[in-house]
Amino acid sequence: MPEETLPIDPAPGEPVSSPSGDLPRRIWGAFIRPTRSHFLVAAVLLVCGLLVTLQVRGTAGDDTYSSLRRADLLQMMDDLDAQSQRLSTEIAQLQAVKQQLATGADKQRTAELEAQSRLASLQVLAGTVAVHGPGVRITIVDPAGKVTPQIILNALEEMRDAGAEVIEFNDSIRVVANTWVTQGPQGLIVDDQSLSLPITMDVIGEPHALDEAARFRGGLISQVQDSRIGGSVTLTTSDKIDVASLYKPKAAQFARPA
Amino acid sequence: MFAILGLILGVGLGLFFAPTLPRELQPYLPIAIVAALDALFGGFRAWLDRTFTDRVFVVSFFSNVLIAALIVWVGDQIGVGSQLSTAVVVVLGIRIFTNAAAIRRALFRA
Repeated sequence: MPEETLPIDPAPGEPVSSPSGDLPRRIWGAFIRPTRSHFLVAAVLLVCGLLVTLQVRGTAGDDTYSSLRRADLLQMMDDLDAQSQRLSTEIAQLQAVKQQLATGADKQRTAELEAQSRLASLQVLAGTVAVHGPGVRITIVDPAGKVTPQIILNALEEMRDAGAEVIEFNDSIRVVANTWVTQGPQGLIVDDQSLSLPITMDVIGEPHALDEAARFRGGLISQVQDSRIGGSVTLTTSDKIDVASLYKPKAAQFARPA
Repeated sequence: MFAILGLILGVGLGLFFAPTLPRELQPYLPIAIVAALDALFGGFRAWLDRTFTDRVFVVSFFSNVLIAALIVWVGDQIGVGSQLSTAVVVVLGIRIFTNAAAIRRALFRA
């Protein structure tokens, strides 16, 4: 298109500014007939559009703060600083709490295990669980009914002295800390239950020591087999003595834990 | 036609890829845009005056953009960046108005 590419010197007779009737035709001609310069202009416009888009997007993103004054921005920054400081203190506190809880949980678990083992031993001691273990079974035959509470109490003391852990009478009466023995009209009474004859004692402990505790001179066997009582005692050691009877603990009426 | 296509393509590329300019170049972008607008108006006026040369147009476009950015950069280096960018915007704005007046006269004879 000559009128575009040459220019500085317009052809004679042609005015520098074209008549207005000519202009739409000229624009239309340029529109439908592309030339080399059109591609250049297109490239330049592409760059221009790219720049404008970039800038518009860039300013659209963060014009919240661009209109604020310096003092406001400083104030804002101070606020954010204080906030972040507060939050980091909070983080430190929470981490400390977390650590405390973690160690606390460990402590609690140890305490729980300890309590479990204490509970087990106390249950055995209080007679509230069935137990089994090695020990001896003593059967006292007393045809004359002359065995006194004193003999039974002595036998209990001797057994405990020899390390008896659990003692049971007649497969039904569990001996505990406050077990008592007395003489009733029909015979012996242990913990409000009459002790029928023959009397059997199941004792859990070290069998040999228990055996010795019953057999020593002046002990249970020699007392019962004395001519004044005229009974007989059989003692068998066993690896497995079962004690199934339980003691029902009563709530203390007068004693209070200090 | 190709010019309009180029413009649309440029805007489309900018929107689609959303490239981010390096931080150091970002302050010069607005000035570069004003310079580019000045070059565009000048080109259109030259075309209406039938004095349009594509080589001149392209060279003036890029040199305008570069010089405007350069002036602001120098201003930044010596501590008067904002004032110099105002100056550049004012001068280019005046030129844009002048060109726009010439275009208006050529188009509407008024």
